[in-house]
Amino acid sequence: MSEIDPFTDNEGGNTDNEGITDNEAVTDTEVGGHTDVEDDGEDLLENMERDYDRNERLDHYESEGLGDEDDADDPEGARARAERYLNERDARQGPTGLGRRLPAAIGDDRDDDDERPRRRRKTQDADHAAAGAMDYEQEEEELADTTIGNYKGSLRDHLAKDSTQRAIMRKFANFLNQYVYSKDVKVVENRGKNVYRPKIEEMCRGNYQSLEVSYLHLSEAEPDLAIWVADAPADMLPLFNQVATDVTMRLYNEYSQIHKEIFVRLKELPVDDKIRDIREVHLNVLIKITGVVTRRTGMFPQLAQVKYDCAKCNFTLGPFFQNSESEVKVSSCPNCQSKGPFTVNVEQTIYRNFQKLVLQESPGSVPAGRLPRQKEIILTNDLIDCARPGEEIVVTGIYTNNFDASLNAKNGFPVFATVVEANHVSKNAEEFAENNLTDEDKREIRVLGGDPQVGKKIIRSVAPSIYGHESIKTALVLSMFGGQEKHSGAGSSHRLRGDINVLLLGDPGVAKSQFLKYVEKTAQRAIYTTGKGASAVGLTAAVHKDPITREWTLEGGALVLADKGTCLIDEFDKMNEQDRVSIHEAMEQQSISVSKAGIVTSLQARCAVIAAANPVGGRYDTSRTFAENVELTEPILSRFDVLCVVKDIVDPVLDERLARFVVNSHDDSHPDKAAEEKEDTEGAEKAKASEITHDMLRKYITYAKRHIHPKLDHADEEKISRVYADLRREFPAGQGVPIAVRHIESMIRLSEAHARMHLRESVNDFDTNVAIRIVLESFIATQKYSVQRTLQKKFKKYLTSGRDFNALILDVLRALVRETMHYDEIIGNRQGGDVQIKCKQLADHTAEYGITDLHDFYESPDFLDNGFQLQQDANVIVFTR
Amino acid sequence: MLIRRHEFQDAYNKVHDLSFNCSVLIFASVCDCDAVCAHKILNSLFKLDSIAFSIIPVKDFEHLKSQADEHISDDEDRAIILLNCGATVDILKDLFAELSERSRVLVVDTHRPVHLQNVRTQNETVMVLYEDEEDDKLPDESVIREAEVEESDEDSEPEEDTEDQSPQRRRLDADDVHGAQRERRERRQRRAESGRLVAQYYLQGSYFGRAAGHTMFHLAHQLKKETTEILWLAIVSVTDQYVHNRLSHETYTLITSELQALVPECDSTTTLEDGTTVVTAADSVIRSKYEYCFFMMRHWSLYESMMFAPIIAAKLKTWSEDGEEKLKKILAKMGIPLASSKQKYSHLSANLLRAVDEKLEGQALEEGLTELRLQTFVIERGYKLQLSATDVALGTTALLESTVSDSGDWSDNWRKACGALSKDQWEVLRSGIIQTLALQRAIVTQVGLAVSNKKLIRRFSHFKVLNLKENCSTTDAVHLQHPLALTRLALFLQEATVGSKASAAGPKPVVVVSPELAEKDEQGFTYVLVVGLCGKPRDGTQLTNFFAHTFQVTIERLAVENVAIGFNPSVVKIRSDGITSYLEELDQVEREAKEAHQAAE
Repeated sequence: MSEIDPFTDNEGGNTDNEGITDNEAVTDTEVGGHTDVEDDGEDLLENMERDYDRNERLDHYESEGLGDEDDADDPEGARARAERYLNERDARQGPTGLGRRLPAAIGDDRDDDDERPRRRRKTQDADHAAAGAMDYEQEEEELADTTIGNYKGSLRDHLAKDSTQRAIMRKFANFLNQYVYSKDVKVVENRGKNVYRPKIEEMCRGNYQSLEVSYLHLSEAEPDLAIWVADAPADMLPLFNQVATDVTMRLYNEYSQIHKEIFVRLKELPVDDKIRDIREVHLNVLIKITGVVTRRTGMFPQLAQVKYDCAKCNFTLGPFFQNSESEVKVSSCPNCQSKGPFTVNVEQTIYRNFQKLVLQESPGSVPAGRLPRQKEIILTNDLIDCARPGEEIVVTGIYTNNFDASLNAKNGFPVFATVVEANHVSKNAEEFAENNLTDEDKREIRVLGGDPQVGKKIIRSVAPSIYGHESIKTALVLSMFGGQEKHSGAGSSHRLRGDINVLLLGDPGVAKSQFLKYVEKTAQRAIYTTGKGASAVGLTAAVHKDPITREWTLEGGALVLADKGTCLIDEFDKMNEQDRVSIHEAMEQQSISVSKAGIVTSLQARCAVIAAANPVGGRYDTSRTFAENVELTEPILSRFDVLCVVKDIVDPVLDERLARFVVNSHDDSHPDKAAEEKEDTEGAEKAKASEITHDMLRKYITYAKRHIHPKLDHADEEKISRVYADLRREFPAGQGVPIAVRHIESMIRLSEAHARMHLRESVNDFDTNVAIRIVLESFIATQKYSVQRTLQKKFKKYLTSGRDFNALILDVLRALVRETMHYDEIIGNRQGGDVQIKCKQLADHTAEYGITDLHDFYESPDFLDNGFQLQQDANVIVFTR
Repeated sequence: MLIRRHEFQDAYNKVHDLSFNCSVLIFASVCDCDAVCAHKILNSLFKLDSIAFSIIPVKDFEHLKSQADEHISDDEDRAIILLNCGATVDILKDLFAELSERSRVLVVDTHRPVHLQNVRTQNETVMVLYEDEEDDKLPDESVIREAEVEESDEDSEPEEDTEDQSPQRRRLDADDVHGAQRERRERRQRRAESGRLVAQYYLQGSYFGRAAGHTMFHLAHQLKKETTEILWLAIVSVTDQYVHNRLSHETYTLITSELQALVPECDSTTTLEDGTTVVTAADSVIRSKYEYCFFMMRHWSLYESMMFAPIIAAKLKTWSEDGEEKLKKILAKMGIPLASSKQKYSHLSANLLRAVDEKLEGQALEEGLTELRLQTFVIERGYKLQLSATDVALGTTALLESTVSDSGDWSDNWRKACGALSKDQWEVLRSGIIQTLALQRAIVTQVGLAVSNKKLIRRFSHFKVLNLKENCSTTDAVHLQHPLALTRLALFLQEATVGSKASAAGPKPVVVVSPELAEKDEQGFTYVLVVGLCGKPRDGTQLTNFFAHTFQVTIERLAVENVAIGFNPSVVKIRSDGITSYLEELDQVEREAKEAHQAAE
């Protein structure tokens, strides 16, 4: 058991640290005692029990150790023992409900690592000499070590002592200089390497001001510091900052030219608090809360260090240090004893940046049936603008109170408004930004891009949980990659849109919303709204009065927030007509012009719009014209590059496979299903191997959008214009979507996007073919059923080009099966069972597409996996149901 | 004939005398900045002497020949000046066949080896200005004469030899023959020896002599007509040669120290009424500076000019993430905020500039960067503008090599380059400088790609090939279409590969194949440039470029069409579909040449 205990290491190895050990034991007890205040989960409870255990053993062990040594001449030690004893007794009696809340889960990750490195101060001396010495380092360690942990009275009083502060600073400096990765860290190269030196270097190289320190590392190396910083962050953090600044300046002598002060940001605090559950006990301690930013103020300079001039004698008072809530007032001048007036000395006063955020509980974490609560967060210095409204962030900070006169008046007795002074802010979705692509990633991406099949792979990897719908997937992928935006005319006065807008129109239950959700998770920047939940201003831009500055300010809507990204609008048809009109400008000109309340401006909204809508009456009726089917006006329809009409067609072959797929995927993704029986579906595994992981896909898209700028060739231009002319000729015949000049641009954009997907710098024939096919398909799909046939025949050569032959034959074959079954039904031959198709029949049909040789097809997995069989001798294809 | 430095003035006078009849014809190469500088110097000299002249920019030998045919007839005595073209061919035979007896051709050409016909003393028509300091690779006059004789006697000699072999004749006058035979044998030996020397002279490959601009400056100096502008042009000439590796580092140091002495101390001071003296800026002041060789820092940000400076980029590998991190580290250690380092260098605050000046070398040393400073010159145009010689040389080169637009004529480039070198056309030069920045970015990116992906560089037995035709992004390809740009790319490639393997022999010579050129011929064929480079940048010793020879041999063997491009024989332009066979043949030729060389030794 003593092996598990992290603190006995010390005892055996280094008698100097006895004092600390005592204290650790004390705090440990308290940890145990208070964990049940938290109701975080099973882990902690389990841990709690062990804590009890451990302490009893420790108690026994230690009293032996102490008995051996300096018992007589260590009155401090004796007192500590007494205290510890008392504390332990308290702990054994159960939680006493004291106000102090101690970081509970510190011991978590250590319970099972027996081989925890015995590092501590063994390598210290060598490093020490190399590092040079700061004043607080010169004190003899022994003295400080024996006294620092033992104190009476409140922790804050103890921390206010100069000697304690020095000891803390020295310990923290040692920690920064000497903490190394443990031997079982995941990244093999890092094992046993110094942690914070490289981090400081990294920080300096990037000119940052924040040094992120892991709380777990700190609690492992310097448990007392860790506990104190959690309990009295307001006193400890300035000391840490001071040390971090000193250490940095020693490594980078001239860094003060860039930043005067370095801030220690504590990450990985092991406790999670809910905004809802913050109570009085949390006041002035470090907490970590998660939520969504709902509002953010502008940046204000806040007084950090004020100096006043006395108007009577010109004496400069100060500096006064400002805390974040109240302003320091001077009562009288020490020089002339007058009572002012005092003016702020502008030159010598130091300001800092200040910003307020409103953090709201994440929708997911709100208990059922309650409204989310919110909390104000104060950001200072370099944390400014680290989060935008709408982002989900995790804030580690000090929970403090703020005197608020209006609240007092309302309640009739003193109450306080509370704020969180942020120390560390982390975002969940940061890892796919362009600057986070490593060289390794780039190489991988280039290798992937070199694969000629990459387009197919990507399309296959999109929304793997949705079966089929290749055309939608293709359209979405192309939209995510986007075409090349162009600036024509001198001085780039005129901008041509590069983004591809897609409208998914379809029957209910064809996974439209699922597609949108997938894009939201994959695209570089995506804003998701639904038609009913969005108003015109919510989509474009709103002008409102800032509550702090009382000025009219502009607030961007969804389309503005999605600038250089994707805006997803679900339930597009449920939107008010007026609201929908407001996005006309955004979709083609990609800007939003506002002239409201004296603000006349234009905001950029360079985003692709992907919308999903239902047809009138829920189902798409092919016998009616397109206009009768949808409640969307022509201007808005023509702004979409691709219209995907998804019909829920009854197809015995596909339906069965679809059903199997859905059942399987439900089965597979159930949380209780362990890895045990995953191998049984070999086909699925095979398909998965050729897929690209979601992370990789995101990186790939980021890379392609950033680095690839495809160019159209002259030969392709001709082809596109020919298709356009053909389309225009056909357009009056049907009642589908009107064909406008925009469609030429659509084709160009789509072909560029397709080239970009293959990491090609120039658009080739294949790209244009695919683009033309997509545009044609979307054109034909909007026609009446009767017209569709003739159009399909007319444009056959475009429609079949760029498609996989096997997939094409499979389509033909399926149609044949469907026909045969239908026929069987009609003539009353209803016994089900196998369906037989003559090979000759299939060959006749495929010949229309110019495919004569079917041997390869018969051997391909496409054929076999779909339940078909070839009976060579009879020359028939058998479809088994 | 050769005109050594002390005779420059006489040669000039001869031209001067002839100019009374008919205007002086100047043919200037449009292929390098040096020629433009030389032309500008000559221009101002002629103006002072009221000499009428006409200038004809030429782009290659064919063009020079056709222009010569057009302008020269044999009935008038003319003075002709060739700037950076012509010295490597037999001028009288190949270029100006119809020249009258008393005409004179003054050749100021940096290309070497000079054709020996041009330097013969009897050849009074052709006067090749030749600087004394050049390490004399020229064979002796007597050797040339010997070799000549062999050539001229070619018809009679073999006859004699065949007769020699007939036994009748030998028997007839044995005594007589004996003496004559010995004499003849000696003569033949001498002849063979000089023939060998001459052949060796031509086979050594191409190299470069003193810059034409520099030579012209000496002329102006002798005529006592040099001005600050002329000195500046000479400096630009020399710098241009240095940045394109046409000068060894040693020679460059030598010349700069010589020029440094000539730079006048010209801080003009004015005494105000109250007696204080203030320094006032003169119109143009040249200052000699020992500067960091960042890339065009006066026109870029500190960060970029460091990132793309060849020497830094090669050492730190700034095209990769690690390299950039190293660069950022250096900046952080100097206390320069990243944000300011990405602002324009010329607008950095004074104390940051001081920090760069004082602390960079120390910090750079930690990252293994040495020899960051280079002796160079800066011209100050009043308070308005500061330009370093490198900026001007590279900017002008970029203008000369800018892609000709459909509406424009290639001679526009020449005009622009002339403008860029004059005092008051800063805007023109600026457009050139902006092009250079884009080019440098393309060079570093492409070489970075090639170095980090070994597959892109193909290795042959005696050289390696970077083929940009296959993998070069279109944005970069636009810039890499011209000989000097590709030469700089090759230079940077050598520098970048030196760092990885420090072999004593130096890196293998490199051949760079350009991306497909934008323009096509009538049949729709596209072309690529092939640029060969031996040696490495900042080399102490002068290296000759043996590709000059092997390129031509390869072309002859393959009998492919060689489209003329410029006057530098180590650059050829061939059809892009023939590039693979060309490289393979070149490998063969190289190997044979190496074997022959070894056998000779």
